[in-house]
Amino acid sequence: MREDEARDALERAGSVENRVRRGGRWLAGYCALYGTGSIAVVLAVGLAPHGPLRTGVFAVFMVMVVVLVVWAATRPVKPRGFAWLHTGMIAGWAVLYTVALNVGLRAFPGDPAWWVPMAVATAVPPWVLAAYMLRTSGGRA
Amino acid sequence: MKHPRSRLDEVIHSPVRFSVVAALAGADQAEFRFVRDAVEVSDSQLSKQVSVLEKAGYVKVGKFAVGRRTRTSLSLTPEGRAAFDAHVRALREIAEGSGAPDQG
Repeated sequence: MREDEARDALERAGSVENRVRRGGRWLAGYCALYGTGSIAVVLAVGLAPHGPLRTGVFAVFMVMVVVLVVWAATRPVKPRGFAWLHTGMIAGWAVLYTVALNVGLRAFPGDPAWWVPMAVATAVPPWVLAAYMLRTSGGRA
Repeated sequence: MKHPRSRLDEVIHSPVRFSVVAALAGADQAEFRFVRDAVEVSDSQLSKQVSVLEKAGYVKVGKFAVGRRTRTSLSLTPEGRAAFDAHVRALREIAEGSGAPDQG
């Protein structure tokens, strides 16, 4: 094999690999939506009075999660490290969500100074993963 | 010093198989039809090459249901990923002109 043939082979392989990497970008959208939904649900639980608004936001969030899970399962490409990345994101989110609700409902009911930053904090793990996916799924140059 | 050509993997040296393995190196798992489109080959060509890669232990083929349809997923085994990385390293060395002079 000559040098130019090796370079051509590497170029072709890089191009195909990048195309498939880009196929994994859906995870960024998934995480961005998940984080946004999490903010809405934490704010609704913490700040909205008991009643239809809180129930409605929670129901919409649950439906959104189910739709996202089904949608994710049907994507044609699972990005590199998908299982670890997704599990890590969900674990980080679950810890922050649990702290936000358990502490907030006992110690800071209806206090925006707790609920607003904690709502945003629950979105950090999914948004960090979204940013990571956007940065890495462009593929190797 | 041995020429890096001697380290090229015989199984993934074929252009289509190398492209298939490169495609799968970019993901944990990809659907058959997505790989077919990315590599720009026909269903039958891809099936044939995937069989060779599967027999070599480089690619794992799976089936999963989406609604009433069954889809085929492809992924690299750890051996396949290692072989791809080694093959790419050897190609890079050839491209950079390292190793003994080419004898043919």
